[in-house]
Amino acid sequence: MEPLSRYATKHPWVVIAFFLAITLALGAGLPHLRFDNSPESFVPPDLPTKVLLDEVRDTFGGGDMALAALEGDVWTVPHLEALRAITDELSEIDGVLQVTSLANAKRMEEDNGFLVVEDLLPDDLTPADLPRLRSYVESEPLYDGRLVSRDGHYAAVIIDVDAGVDALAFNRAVNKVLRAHWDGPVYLSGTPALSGYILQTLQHDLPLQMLLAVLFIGLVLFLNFRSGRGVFLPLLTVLVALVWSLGLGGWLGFELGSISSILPVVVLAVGSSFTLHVLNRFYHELADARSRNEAIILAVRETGLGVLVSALAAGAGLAALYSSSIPQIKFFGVLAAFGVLVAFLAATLLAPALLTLMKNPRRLPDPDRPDAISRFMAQIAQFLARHKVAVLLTALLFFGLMAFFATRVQVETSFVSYFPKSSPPRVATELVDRVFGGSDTLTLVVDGDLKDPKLLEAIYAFEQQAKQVDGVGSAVSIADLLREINKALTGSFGLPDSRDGVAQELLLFQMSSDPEDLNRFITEDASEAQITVQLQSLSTTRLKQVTEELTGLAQKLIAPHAEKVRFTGTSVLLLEVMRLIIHDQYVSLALALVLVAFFNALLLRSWRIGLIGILPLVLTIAGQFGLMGLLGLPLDTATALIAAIAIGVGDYSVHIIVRYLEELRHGASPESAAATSLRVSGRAVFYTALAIGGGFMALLFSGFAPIQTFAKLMGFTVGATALFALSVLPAALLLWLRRYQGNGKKEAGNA
Amino acid sequence: MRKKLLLAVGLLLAGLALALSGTEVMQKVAAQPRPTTMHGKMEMRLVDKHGRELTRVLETWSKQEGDVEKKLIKFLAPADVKGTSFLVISRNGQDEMKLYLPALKRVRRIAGGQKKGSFMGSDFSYDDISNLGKIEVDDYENKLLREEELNGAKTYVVEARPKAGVDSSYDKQILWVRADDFVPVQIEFYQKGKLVKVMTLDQVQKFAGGKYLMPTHMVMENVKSKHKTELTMSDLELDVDIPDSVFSERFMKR
Repeated sequence: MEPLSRYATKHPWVVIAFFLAITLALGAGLPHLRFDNSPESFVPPDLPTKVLLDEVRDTFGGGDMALAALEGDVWTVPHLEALRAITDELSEIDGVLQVTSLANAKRMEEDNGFLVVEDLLPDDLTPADLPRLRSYVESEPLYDGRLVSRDGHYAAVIIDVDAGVDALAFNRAVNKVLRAHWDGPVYLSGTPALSGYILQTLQHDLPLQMLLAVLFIGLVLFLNFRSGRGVFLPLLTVLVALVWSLGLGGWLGFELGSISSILPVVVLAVGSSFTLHVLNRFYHELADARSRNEAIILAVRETGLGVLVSALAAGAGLAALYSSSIPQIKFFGVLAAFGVLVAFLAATLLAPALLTLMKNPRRLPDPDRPDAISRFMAQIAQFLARHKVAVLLTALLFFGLMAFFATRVQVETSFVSYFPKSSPPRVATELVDRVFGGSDTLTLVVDGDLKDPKLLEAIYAFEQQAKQVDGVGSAVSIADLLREINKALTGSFGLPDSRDGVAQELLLFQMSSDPEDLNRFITEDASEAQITVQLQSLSTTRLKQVTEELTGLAQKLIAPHAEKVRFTGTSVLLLEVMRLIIHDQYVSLALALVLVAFFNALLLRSWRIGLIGILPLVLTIAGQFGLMGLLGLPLDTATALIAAIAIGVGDYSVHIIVRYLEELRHGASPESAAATSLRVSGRAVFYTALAIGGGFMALLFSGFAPIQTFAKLMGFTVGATALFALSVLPAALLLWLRRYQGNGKKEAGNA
Repeated sequence: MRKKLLLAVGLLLAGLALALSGTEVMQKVAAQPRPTTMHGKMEMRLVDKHGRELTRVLETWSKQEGDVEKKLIKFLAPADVKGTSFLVISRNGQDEMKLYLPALKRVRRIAGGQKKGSFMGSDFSYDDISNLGKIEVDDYENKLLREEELNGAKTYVVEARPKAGVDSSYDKQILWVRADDFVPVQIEFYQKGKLVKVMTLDQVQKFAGGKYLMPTHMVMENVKSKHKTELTMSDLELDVDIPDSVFSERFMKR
């Protein structure tokens, strides 16, 4: 560390040129940074459910479902004509596979002795047609309540969208078409639409959050240093780190989603603490009447170890997210870890180089004049010396209590839960749930002899029972289609009683429409069929129950007559995500804690120190989950990161430990070492916590509910880690580390 | 450049033939002699984009008497649809259609409006099939786009757009018509300006000592869904006597 800072003071321009060059090179990658928040960005590509979903989409030519509800009296000529124009124009939008509405529905019925198979809406629609149309639609289970609400006040346009579609462009195009033709309110829901809203919010939120984070952090820095450079230098180093990390993401082709959008704030908040520590020490050394360059070198040397350990710990905590199976979280972990390490480099190289070129500040703090905060720290130290055991026992009690509440944490991954209650996407989704039975889908793939009337009867029976399950809107398959055909042919709903009957009715359907229309339900060779179950937007817990209920029904009813029954769909994918999140939690948490303990132990040369050092983290993490369980905050894709980020931001303990060891080494008693450590490093810990906490407060202004929850939890996290680092940690040091340990190495401060 | 070269070569080789307009080309196509009756087998192979396929075999009878055209189609295979039959009697453009499904043991009358629908569940529509037999040249604006070599044969490339007021499934068709015998060998079908289907007629055979030229193998591919249908005609008998009793409900049920 020292040779580096020496070099920086001797050749500041070289260092500045080096940072400038890389900043420009990586910064050029910024325009390549892309956004993606499709369900795919949450799902590992090799997940079996995902593989099956791709297969199903390929076989039956489907995608994700979006549903537009159009409000107004549907049974009027102008509205039906508008619906026709909308249906036509939506089909032309990029990524739209199929559009279904009353406008392109078929009429298949017995009419004056003729079997009629034709478009429901005649080309020249007149008011006289309306009563006949309405009564036909109301008699059709496939249309009534699906394409038009039972009261006739809402029309549905079901849009089948390619899974790889640019959700933002899709949303814009769809809304444009809807507004151009429909005079009443329109509501757009479904996964593609929600993804679009998410991206829209994301691009709006990102600059705002960065600005707010810079402002908040700047304010705390000003409170700490009361000087322009005290604000400017730390902010500059983190902005450099941010450009490097986002730029690298751009070059590597990473895509930011709702979760990874917190990346800038994490880098800004965590990174700014490094320069804060170096600068603090620099001022102290200057006040001790050292020359500028000497003060710089000393500042880096003395704080360098602590900063290095916390940078490595933060990097490790974030990099541990790479073990996540969720692509978006993985990318976030890598880039955030990189950004934090760059911030460390900038704090120990760029900041010293810039300081060398600056004039000494006119006003210097008096290190011996204790301010309110250091006085308070001294009081804490006295209290801890007397009640260390009590403090540790309280901590243990806290841990037990929080661990108990943590078991109550619920997982939530549904997209709609991202949005605050009164936001348009949430309103649209709830309306579609209420009027049309939902815009989420679950697909059952049935393999077997689909011409066998027994299997078809079983599928129909399954659908009837599935519809009774709370949260299920409808279920559609080849069986329903056959019932329609059978009704048109024989006058009564029912399935043909022989294989030949089934084959001939399917042939009739194929003869009266495009051949691929049938392929949306069943393969050409009738060996595979899909049942599409429409779901309301359910909480992850409820979705899990519904899926289990449906699986049970399918096993009981369909499986005995089929070769294979499998489940898939976007909602099932998100269930898998939930399972992965929980699993990843344990892995990344354990990994991160081990890494932090390892770095602490390695650099401070004692396993005991390593273990004591992670105490505040362990307590904080228990507190986070306990709090979530207690307040009913869900574990979702955003809050799943808090444990890892807590490790990243919250490793203040090392500064306390380093100073405590330094004092012991110089022969101080444990009590006085703890007092000095708290008085000097405690003040820095206090401001660091404030800066980091302030940075994360910027996320309170996010348009996403999970990110807001995350911000609140981070507020707790930052405070709690600081609290534990200033109380439990010194108590533990006083109890278990009363003698200097460092393998006899005298210059432990010199890493 | 290449177009110009082709044009120059075409001029040299074809001489006067180039003077043909799009309409003239289409008139020559329409002027081809047609048999009055036809009986034969048709194999229909449906293939989806994954190569999964289904083969249907049909027997067809057709007869043209003045303004009346009668057609009967009966499925021979697969076994589960065997006996399904379809009867169309067109009088002055008015269609009367009947369907017999053996499983229901009933003949059903079917309302019109089927012309744009799928022909026997294939990628061909009724229109596509019936336009093969007779082309109403006057319903279209025909424009000769270019001449071009296709599969070793010189062809006229003609764009045909339906005139205002003509009810057509497509807003544009581009036909490749062989210059030597005026048989269309490839047709592209456009809807809303987009290519939707491509038909290739890759086997044209002479019948009755060269009097008739009939396509015996053709493929229709749906551009978007990649679904395609291959039709193969066999055992063709032309101008044989087909009694009217064939085009009846009794024969359908037989």
